Amino acid sequence: MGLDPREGSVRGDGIMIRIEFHRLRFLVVDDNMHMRRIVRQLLHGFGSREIFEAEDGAAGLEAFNGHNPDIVITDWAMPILDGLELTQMIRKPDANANPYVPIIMLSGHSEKSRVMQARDAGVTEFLAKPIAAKALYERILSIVLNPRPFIRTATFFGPDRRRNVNPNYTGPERRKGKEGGETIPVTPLASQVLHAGGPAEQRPMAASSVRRTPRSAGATG
Amino acid sequence: MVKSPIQQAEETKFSDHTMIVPPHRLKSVITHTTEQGDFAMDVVARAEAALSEIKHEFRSWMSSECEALEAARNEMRSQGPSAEALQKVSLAAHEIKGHAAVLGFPLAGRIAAILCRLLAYAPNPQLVPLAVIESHVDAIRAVVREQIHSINDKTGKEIFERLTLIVETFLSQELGEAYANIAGDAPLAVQPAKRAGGK
Repeated sequence: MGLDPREGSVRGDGIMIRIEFHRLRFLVVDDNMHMRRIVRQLLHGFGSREIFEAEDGAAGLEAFNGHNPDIVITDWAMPILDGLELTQMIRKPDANANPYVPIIMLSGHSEKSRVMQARDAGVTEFLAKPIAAKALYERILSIVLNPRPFIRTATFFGPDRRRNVNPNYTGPERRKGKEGGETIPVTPLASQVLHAGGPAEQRPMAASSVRRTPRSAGATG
Repeated sequence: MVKSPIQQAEETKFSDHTMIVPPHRLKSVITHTTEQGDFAMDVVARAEAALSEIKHEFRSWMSSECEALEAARNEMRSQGPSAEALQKVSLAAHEIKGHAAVLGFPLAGRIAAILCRLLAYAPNPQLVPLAVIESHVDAIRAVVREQIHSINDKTGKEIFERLTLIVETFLSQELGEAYANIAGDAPLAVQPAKRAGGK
């Protein structure tokens, strides 16, 4: 049995994986003070102690630059700078100290088109309101245990939108577009890792984005 | 000198994109233990317990969310259904849609969700009958005032279903064939009504 955050972080060899929440620093950006309080209370329950708050996207960006949090949790609909714009500002390469910071979009906009829009802005995980402790925990676990590589193209900068790697897929590389498409064969090393698994830190890039857990309800791609 | 995450990231360039492996900054918070127990469930249970500690505040929070919605409705009444006024109603309803269930009022959240749906999908929200919007605001207020916490409350459920029927019928009439694109997300399956004039 492999690492599976959805099954209590238990590994088959009897080793438990734990997250030291007290060492994680969060930034919660939401214009609704009740929601900020709820999220803060949940994070406190997880064991987190350093939780910074901001009431709009502009204040969120300032807090992000000032506190350098490990994880950002942001609402979508906010005055001045909304959560989508905040994400885009954070994801500007070279504009911030850490454009790779994991961002959880916590939003009441749960329509598929919105989730795709958030994903394309560079959001790491999407969490639909109403918030639940288990769902928030799962998103944080996913971020900590399964960090995804980043992709930079002419029009996108953010976490790899591909959640799954099909080890049998050897067809055209759609990321390269219809015209520039080329067939990327699976390399022997990648094939070996994809089929055999192994410690994440030893896997090559393509394999490190493999999720062994069921696809979450969050951002996809 | 400590390198920044950007300096530590490993890049692999392809013809039209670059793949970047940022430093795994959070790796240090992962620990391994042989202790027995369901750590994940313990953590979630602790968080839920922490949330319960502030439960006594939820009713007043919900009331203030309702007041914000009523204020937006009153502004719409006095100024007419301008795009700005409708946007304020929509935003206030959106807040309730997102928070009400956590605050113990899931039915209020569901009613707010259909109001959001109505204002989001109506081709011209300014043509939405004001009485329909007002009905939603009043229903949310009533659910909170009467402390209806269960989505199976008989009266509350009936109100929700009636409002859903009104909204879905309106949207199906206004959207025509395009209604099929959003019908799947309707909270209740509603038979699309035919447009007046046989369209």
